[in-house]
Amino acid sequence: MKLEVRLFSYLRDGRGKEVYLDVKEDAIVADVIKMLEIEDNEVANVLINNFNADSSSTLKEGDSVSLFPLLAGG
Amino acid sequence: MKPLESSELRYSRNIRALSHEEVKSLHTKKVCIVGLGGLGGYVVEILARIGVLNITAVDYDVFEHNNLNRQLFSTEALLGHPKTEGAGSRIKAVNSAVQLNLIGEKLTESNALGVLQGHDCVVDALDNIPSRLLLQDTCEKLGVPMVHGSIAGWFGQVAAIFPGDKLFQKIFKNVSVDGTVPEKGVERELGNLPFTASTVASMQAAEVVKILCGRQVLRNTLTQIDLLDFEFNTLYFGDKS
Repeated sequence: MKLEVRLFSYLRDGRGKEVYLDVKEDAIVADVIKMLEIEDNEVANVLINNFNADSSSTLKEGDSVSLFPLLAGG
Repeated sequence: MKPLESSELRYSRNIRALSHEEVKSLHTKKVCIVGLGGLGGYVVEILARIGVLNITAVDYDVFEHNNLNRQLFSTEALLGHPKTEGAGSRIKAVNSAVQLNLIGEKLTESNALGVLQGHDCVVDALDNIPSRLLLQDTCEKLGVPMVHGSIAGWFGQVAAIFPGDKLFQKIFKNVSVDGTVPEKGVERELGNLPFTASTVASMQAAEVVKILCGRQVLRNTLTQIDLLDFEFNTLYFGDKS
């Protein structure tokens, strides 16, 4: 199934703002994060179609997944 | 028309954006800024300039060479000196009416309640997640609102957190493993740029002033800024205020 992935902040480095992926039917957000070669602990917040989700959330055809990074400096 | 007193002149450019009552009200409020690094220095200075006259600043660290690119109170002459010393001399020069309480300690479970109690608002200018969780827990116990800020490279984030919101449990949920959160984020690789620090600190100071003046602020939200692509994105985690 096809998905749109929207990346934010430094997660765009080398990947761009939007990525279009073809994933297996029962894919979850963690699968997308892995496909994009992002470390698990780099993604602090996930939205699916603009609603809060997490890395274990199941995806469906046409979903838009937004990934936001962990920022902790001061 | 009677001439303006010097204190009225000092704050005259606050007026209209803030009412006279709000400016007077700021003089009586107490704010605690935890962390005097890239964020904390700017927040302390902005609050002192706008007229918050009771400020507590907490940091146990000393200035190092790698602070000079962004930390407002750091100077070559103060390398090796406590950050609280830099805050003290700068704020005295900027606004001598400010009662600045300097605490040269690390925030710990044993001192957090004592350090934070008695303040109207607390500012998270820390640089690690476990200390932020301690700060939120303590503010929750004391019933005090806090304003979170953090930065990495060209990117940063800001959030106002009120007692009961427990926002960190929501925004760090995805990186918690068995209840343990990572110490740091990507700032280790991306560094911290001066304009990111000053932008996020300014946004934090704006939220503090709104809270102190009883104005509306966004709750249960996290606003991430991207100064590279010039984007602001606000994530919603529950009911807005």
